Amino acid sequence: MVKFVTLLLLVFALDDCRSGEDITVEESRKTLSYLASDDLEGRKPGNPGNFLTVSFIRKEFESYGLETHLQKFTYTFRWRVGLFRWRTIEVETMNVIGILRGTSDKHVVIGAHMDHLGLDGDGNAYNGADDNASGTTAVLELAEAFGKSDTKPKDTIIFIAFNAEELGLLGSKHYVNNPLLPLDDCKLMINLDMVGRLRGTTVTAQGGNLSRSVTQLVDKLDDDYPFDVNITAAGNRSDHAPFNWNGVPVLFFHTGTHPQYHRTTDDSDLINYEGLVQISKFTLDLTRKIVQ
Amino acid sequence: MIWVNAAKQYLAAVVCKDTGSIEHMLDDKVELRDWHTRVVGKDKVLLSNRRFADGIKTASLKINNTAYKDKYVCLECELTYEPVFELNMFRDQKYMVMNIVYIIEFNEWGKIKSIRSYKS
Repeated sequence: MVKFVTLLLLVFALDDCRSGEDITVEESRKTLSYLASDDLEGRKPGNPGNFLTVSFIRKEFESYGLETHLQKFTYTFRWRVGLFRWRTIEVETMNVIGILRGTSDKHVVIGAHMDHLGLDGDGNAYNGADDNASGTTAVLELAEAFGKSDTKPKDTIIFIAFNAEELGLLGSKHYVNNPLLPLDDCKLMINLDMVGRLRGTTVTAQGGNLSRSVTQLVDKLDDDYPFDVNITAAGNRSDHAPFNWNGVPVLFFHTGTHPQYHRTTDDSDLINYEGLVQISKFTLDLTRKIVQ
Repeated sequence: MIWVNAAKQYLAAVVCKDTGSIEHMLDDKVELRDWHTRVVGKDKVLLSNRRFADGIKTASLKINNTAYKDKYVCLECELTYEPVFELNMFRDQKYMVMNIVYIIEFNEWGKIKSIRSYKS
């Protein structure tokens, strides 16, 4: 009997370990290093590097078995080229969306923006390793963990790599105006933006429209992690904002700003990969509890 | 949007080995850059296209995604081709598939100014 109980405990322990081993430092480092490489030229919407990023994310989603959509949108910008002359340019770009269908009508959105600032005047890339190759990597790792899992969720999970965030949340605004599933059925939108520089023992999460059950769940889950999640009021400076304005419960994780913010020095060698993986695993556990 | 159609016409001409049409689409100083070639000038780009045409028996191109910024067009394509016998002698399958991203830039007169391609 003792042997049987011991074996049972061992099986449960192994099962618990499996939930975390889907996301590893090596995988995260590999993905982030590509997204933040000079090859992608700062991932600015309309530029080749952004298109290559879209292509990469779409293929990753497809390889995890997700239903994949490219949600296109256009925007224009203009600048003065003479005293009375302006030049207008139209750009077509897109969000990349991967859907893991559940059996209920409800869904959860997990998103991060994939775009950044392009090249500076000297041709140096704004690689945006923390902003936001880190969040995009987390979304890809989560999509892989859920997509390849044998246990399918009850609620649908929508993974979104938003585009043109840096130009004014254009991708997330476009999604909110054209959601693939009704926003009223969205139980939670999780946004991951700049989650690669975990320092100390606190992760800030901006929350809006949250129910007590979600905040309690966050409080309970962070006991298993080497950080406390401190929930503050939701701001307007990332892709959760359009969801928040429309009454969707939102949770926005980030690890704070730093001297390399919006500079060409925001590179992959400054990322805390252990911290990134811990935040990804926390998000995985939180999402599993919500969609099960 | 017209530039997306023009870029598609160029790629259609490439897979059909329609060198005459390609010649009309290119600027005299066109630049072609891919994973192993970098050439500048219409004649050299045409020569490069001819070499591509000589290496395949048949080809078809499926365009999976496009985007544009003014006169820049990005196309994600799946190229299926049947290599000539000499290249195919050690391979089992008749057709080969290659995923390629093309970035094509037009000048103000509608001629192709640069072609960049990446294996994806």
